[in-house]
Amino acid sequence: MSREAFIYIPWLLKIAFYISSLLSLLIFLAGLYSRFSIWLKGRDEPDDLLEGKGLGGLLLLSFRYFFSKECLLARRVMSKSRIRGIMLIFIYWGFTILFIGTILVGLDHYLRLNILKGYIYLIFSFILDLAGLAVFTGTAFFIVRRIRLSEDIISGWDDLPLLVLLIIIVLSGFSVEGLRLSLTDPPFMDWSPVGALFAALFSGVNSPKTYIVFWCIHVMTALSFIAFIPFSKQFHMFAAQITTKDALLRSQRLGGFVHD
Amino acid sequence: MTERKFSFSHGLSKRQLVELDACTRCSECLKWCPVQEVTGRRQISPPEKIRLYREFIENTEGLKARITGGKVDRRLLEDFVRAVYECTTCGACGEACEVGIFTQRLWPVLRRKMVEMGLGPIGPQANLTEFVKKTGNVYNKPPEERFSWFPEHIKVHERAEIGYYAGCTGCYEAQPMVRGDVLALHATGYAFTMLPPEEEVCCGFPLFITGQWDMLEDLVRRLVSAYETRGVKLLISSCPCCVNIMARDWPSLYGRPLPFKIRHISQFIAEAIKEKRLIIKDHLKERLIYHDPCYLSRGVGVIEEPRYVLKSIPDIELIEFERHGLYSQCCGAGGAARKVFHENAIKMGRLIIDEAVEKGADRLILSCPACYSKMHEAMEGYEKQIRITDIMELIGSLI
Repeated sequence: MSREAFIYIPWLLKIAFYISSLLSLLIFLAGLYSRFSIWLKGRDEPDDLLEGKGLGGLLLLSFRYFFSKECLLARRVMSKSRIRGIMLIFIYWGFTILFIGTILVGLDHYLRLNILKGYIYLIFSFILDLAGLAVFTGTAFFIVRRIRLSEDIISGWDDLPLLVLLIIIVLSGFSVEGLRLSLTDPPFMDWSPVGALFAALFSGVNSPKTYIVFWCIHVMTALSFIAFIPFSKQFHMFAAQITTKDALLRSQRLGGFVHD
Repeated sequence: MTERKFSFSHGLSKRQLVELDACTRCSECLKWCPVQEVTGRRQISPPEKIRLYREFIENTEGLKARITGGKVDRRLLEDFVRAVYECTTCGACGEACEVGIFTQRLWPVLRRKMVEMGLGPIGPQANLTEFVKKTGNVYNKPPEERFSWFPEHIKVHERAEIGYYAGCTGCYEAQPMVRGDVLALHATGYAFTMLPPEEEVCCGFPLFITGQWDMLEDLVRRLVSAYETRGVKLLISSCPCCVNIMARDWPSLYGRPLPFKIRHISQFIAEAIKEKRLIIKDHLKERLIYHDPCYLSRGVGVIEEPRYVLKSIPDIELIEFERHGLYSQCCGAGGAARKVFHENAIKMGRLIIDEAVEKGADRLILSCPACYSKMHEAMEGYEKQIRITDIMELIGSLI
């Protein structure tokens, strides 16, 4: 019980995948550097979280607070609205798990670690399936919210398209998984409940060609999304955890009228 | 089109630049924005202001500017100026913000940038610096009239550990309020000092909030030195805006820690009541509703103390607005917007009056001179009427 990477993918597409990945990563890093460079232009404020921080310090801070309790539990959003908090947690946890899962698959494949096998692989598959479902639920919620409240909320040109892009990534991912399961018909399908559902949906059209089409859609949308992050509102994933932490510290200071 | 030379990011703190990137446009703040409530114009909403300003930075600095040439549409800038000055800077949006953007601080900084560009301040706000230079106050009133309301029987000491700063708005627009302050202070038995009228100049807040920061350091140095000379260890004021800038900004404008502590008068009087230095003997069988000033509650976190003071009055019943404490609703006087967008301010004030009347309050209690002045104005010619009293005016009348 394990998973073969790049199943059905011809070598030419593999090369295209590696080139596109590199391009996407380079655009992402250039954008990230550009955005962080603007932060660095800011002046330091005494006793501020960001005081004296350079590029590395800001990145580290952003990373550190990404995994803070505030962020992990979406406490601030949760305190304003339980439902939005839960949906945010779905997206945040779901994406984090999918990101870690993808890295693990990569490491397992390229370093030939061979750890994703047997029950470990089954549990891994199950968790990733749930993570995908969580991202889907959260994203669908925010799409519906943005459409339903379109008269009452502010939307930039990228708000809705980005959410739609996210949901395409998730759905194409499930489609790829479903087609793979449908084509290989492994005995452990129950461990990928959403994948199994998609396998059933594709049971009439489960050819390797269809698989390749969905794989291409998944890869292209995912890589586009990564490249787009620093140039869109999605960049808040590097900023919001810092402002949320700052707000928490500020409210703690207020209680005691700190100015003595 | 505005050329790239002007830096939109310069002068903002790192935190503020991060805040601009943190906004997700969830738009939850719109429900709490008083300007939205009375105008309904989405162009002047907090997420739109942030989106526009972020666009100005992206268009003139960073990767996108290199690719596109770095220009900003002048018309968009003008829209932004109106939006940032129509705001009352009450900070309700920041409290509701799901990513915790400190908007009560961000808006004045963005106004400052508009002043740098020569696009702000707007309307009568532009006269404030000149007025302060000429008369020491933003109302352009003679300094010798500043303390005309002062109760003659009360002695002000030449030197004392407690200093009282009355503030321009209290002195010229809300005299019953500052009179009440002095009566309450006197009743505690503590000796206190004040500066002579020509020395008690503007605290700097109206200039700060409208983005006109050139005079600030000078004003702060003059005031801090004057109080230090008089031996002040604790400076008290009843104006939330004055307290806010004194507590938050005076130390950095002064260049070192202040030689005294800052307190809002409700904090000081609450302590005096706890220590039984001040006992309110007179009964008041009334239903009071207390309105939290934005710069006192969201600004410096003083929420419980005014309520403690009010609850110390025998027989009163204290009721709350739907939006109170950190979520209190702006009365319309904030951010010097009342000087330009008068109609908005009146509508906001009337929303407060409406709720107070609907809840059956006998009296609306305030603790801010700007609220005091604006709410009285909002009630002129209005069908709904309620008695408006400042918290210290009330205490002063009961001791």
